[in-house]
Amino acid sequence: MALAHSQYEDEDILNQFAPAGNPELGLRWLMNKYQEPLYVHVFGMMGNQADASDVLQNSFIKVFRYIGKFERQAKLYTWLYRIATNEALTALKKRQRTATVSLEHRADDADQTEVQPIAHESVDGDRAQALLSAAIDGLPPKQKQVFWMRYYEEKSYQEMSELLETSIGALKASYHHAVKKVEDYIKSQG
Amino acid sequence: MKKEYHTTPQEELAELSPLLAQLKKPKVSLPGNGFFEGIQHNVLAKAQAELNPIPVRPLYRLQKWVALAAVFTAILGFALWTFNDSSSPTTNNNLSDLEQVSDAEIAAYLALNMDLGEAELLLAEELELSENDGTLLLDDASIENYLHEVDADAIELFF
Repeated sequence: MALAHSQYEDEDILNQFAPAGNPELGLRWLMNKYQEPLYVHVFGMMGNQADASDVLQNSFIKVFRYIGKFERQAKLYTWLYRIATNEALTALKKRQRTATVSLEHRADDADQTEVQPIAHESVDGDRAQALLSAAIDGLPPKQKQVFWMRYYEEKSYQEMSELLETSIGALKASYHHAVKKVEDYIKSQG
Repeated sequence: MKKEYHTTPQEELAELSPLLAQLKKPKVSLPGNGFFEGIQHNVLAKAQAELNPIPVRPLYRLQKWVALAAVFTAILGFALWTFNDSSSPTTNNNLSDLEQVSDAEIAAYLALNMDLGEAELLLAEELELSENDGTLLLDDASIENYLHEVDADAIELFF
């Protein structure tokens, strides 16, 4: 009987990428085990399903490409998380560049100078939640990442530091700034 | 006194922003059926392509040589066409036809179509060419013999 996907150990998955293993099967197990938590993380940064899907796909392809270089001293999840985070940051920067360019075009005609954040999808409920989502989307990519990990995923600073390879002090400062910005945005709109 | 370390993210948030701490967190709903299957399908297809790369078809490898051969053939064809045009058989045929025309016929033609001035020029040119050429220097006797060979009637017609 086949094991449920959650029962595969990281070791079993990694062994499939060894010369005697079946890399395709290993990739399938890896995706089954980690696709949902990675999706939540990536969605938090991207704010919509389509972008999150693209980032997730690219992340898994990179994982497949470079898993031979993975050093087993680190946790597999930490490594996956890092790859997905970097992919999301790259996509966010690209999106911001595009938004800036299109805004410059629009400014010529309509004299608009302020970037409007894109509201999160899948947010139901009251206006406050919608404002919160819009405020998160308006944060710079790195602050958004830190805010999402701490506020939504409720990760410890220690874990965040390992995942993002950033000092705890810098993460705290970044999170505090982000909280202030989000609060100010909600107050200004409310 | 401000706490140095917060035990939980919630406590930290409550201290930083009571407003945010009161708000419900945005819900991330997982996508419906088929979403992750779609992602897996795409990723596995790309992975498979990387594991088993499609060999480059020989045709693609030969493509540049085929193009080169086509260009070479075109140039060769053009060169042959140009050469044939400049030394066309029509010209050769005309010359060979001319050899079959008798002196009498030539003289008759010239008598009808050439005035005296042109005839003198032609004769002068022929003599000059002969002298310059150096191979056909004719003395009076040779000229006399030549004139005897030529049809007398034709000469009269000519002059």
